[in-house]
Amino acid sequence: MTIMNNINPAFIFFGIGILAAMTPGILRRIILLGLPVFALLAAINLEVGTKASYSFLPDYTSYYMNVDKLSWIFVFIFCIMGVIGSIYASHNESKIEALCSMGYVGSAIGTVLAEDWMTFLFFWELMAASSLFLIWNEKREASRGAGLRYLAVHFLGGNLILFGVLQKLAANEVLITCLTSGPKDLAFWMILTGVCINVAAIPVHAWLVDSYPSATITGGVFMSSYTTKVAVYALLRIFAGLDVLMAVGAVMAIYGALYAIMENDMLKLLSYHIISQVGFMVAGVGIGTEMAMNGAVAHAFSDILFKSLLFMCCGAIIYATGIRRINQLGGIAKKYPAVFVCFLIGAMSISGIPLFNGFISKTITIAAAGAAHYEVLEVLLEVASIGTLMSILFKMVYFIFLAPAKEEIKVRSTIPKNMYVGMGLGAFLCTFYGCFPDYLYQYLPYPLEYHPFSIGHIALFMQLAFMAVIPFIMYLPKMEPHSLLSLDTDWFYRRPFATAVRYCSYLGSATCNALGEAWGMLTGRVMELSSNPMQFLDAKGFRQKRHYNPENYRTAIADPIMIMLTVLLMSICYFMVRV
Amino acid sequence: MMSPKRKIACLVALLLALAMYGIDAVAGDHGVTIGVLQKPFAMGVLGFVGAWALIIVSKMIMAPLLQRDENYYEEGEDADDNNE
Repeated sequence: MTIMNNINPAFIFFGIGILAAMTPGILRRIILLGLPVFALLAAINLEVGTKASYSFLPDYTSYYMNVDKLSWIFVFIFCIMGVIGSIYASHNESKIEALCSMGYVGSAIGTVLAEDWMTFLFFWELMAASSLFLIWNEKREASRGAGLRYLAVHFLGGNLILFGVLQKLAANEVLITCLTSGPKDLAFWMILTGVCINVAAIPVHAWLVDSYPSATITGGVFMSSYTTKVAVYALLRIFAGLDVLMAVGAVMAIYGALYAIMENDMLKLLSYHIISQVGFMVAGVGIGTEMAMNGAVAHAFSDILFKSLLFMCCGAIIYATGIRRINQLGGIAKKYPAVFVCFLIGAMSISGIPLFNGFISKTITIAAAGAAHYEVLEVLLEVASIGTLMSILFKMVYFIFLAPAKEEIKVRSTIPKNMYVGMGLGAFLCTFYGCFPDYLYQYLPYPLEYHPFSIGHIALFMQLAFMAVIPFIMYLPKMEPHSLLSLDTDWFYRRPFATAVRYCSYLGSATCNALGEAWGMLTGRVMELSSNPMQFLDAKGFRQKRHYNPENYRTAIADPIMIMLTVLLMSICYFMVRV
Repeated sequence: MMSPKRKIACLVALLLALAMYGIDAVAGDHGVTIGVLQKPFAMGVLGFVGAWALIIVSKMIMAPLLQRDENYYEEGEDADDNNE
């Protein structure tokens, strides 16, 4: 155990990724099943207060490890998810996916542990790059486009942060600090906007709903856990207590829930719920009290567990049936009872049902809003909770698992055992932390006096849940999703902006062609004229004839004959007069 | 019109909510700080109104405005590919 002391778990994940990419079939499975546990052990053994740096340029030192209570809990849950995710994905044949998924986990941990701006940015970009290949590895036409849009959005976000960081470095601020109380300069707004893109704040959120469902089944599980949570960590570290984040969080929470109610694609629905749940965390960061910050951290911890569980369950259904649309499914509970139980646990967790981990984390942020006298925010977050309850616990559970299927669902392939193990572990942890919240609360960054299991609190929440069922049952026929696509803010860059770019491209091509043709004509003419200087000097020929014609330079034969005949006739006349 | 099964389900949900209110009223310690939500059965009303409002906004306002055919984007992209 002492060997594992104070090793950066990010490097272990990088090593696992490289090893997995170099080894064939069964050996790769063993590596993915076993080695991430060492990273988890390394995370458990990380001591708060540990710092490490490495100088590799004359004037630059990378502070690549700074363990405090905030970074530790994120590293811990990232490693837990790394273990669960790699078990779930261990049946994959793709070496690239193994490399990228482990690299993605490692870079997320590297970002969280970074103490200086440049190291933070390096791992931040590495995270975007490695996750991109989890999308492109799906090899569907839709994934190609989604990956390009993901790349474009993250390129923009990363560059905004880079410009902000460069300004910080120019001001000799090497280490990451909280910017909330500092000057609201250009660097502040650039870094904030860059982080908000990754946190999927409205209206720069569409990349998430576009890309996560387009990734591979197992890649989606990883992606649901890391990018947005790393961004939440960045907000906690850099922008704690920034008032505007309360409004941003509330809008995200409601917006995600509204779209989730409309959505038909299972993975898109869950992606909208990532936005909604991250909204709770962002609001917590905005409130800025110790209780709210604890709420944001606790909910990030819980969200990684239940959201990945839900993605794993939906992924298993897609793997087995090839169907993604809710309206084409039904009666799955009978076919796959284990998947149903795991999904139900995930659904109850995300909906905040008592004894599941959503209840012990989501309610902290809501209570913190109330304690800080942000009543409107508290009510909005409660309404967002109702939206989660309706779209996942009621809608998904009913239409996917319980309602009768409209058509017979053909089983395409058997769900691998490792997928069941991954789902089982996720379900166990959701229940474990839901029943024993102190195992989470003791690791939160600030001291917390919160008791979620008072009878009044549970009864109050169940009152809300039972009453929320009634409109769902009343409008049940309307709640059934249809095979339609919901337009979101990505419409702006997929339609008008794409059209503008297309027409600009056409205009550019046409101008280029016209200039090319004109140049071709001009050079052709010059070549032609320079090949025969006589033609160039002859004005008539230049104007009238395109090519040199010798006939133009000959006198007609009739002229001399006429002259000769005229002279002969006049001579005869003269001699006759004289005689 | 709702089927009898759905009516019964609604009634059961209402009764359970009322039972929870009873427990809440006896227990008292629910941690709610907002004045309006401390009124009797206020959380139940919030649950009903909130769910109803979300369905109305989502399914009856947003869906007709924002939902399109599933190939909405692919059509444009295919046209693009053909042009290429």
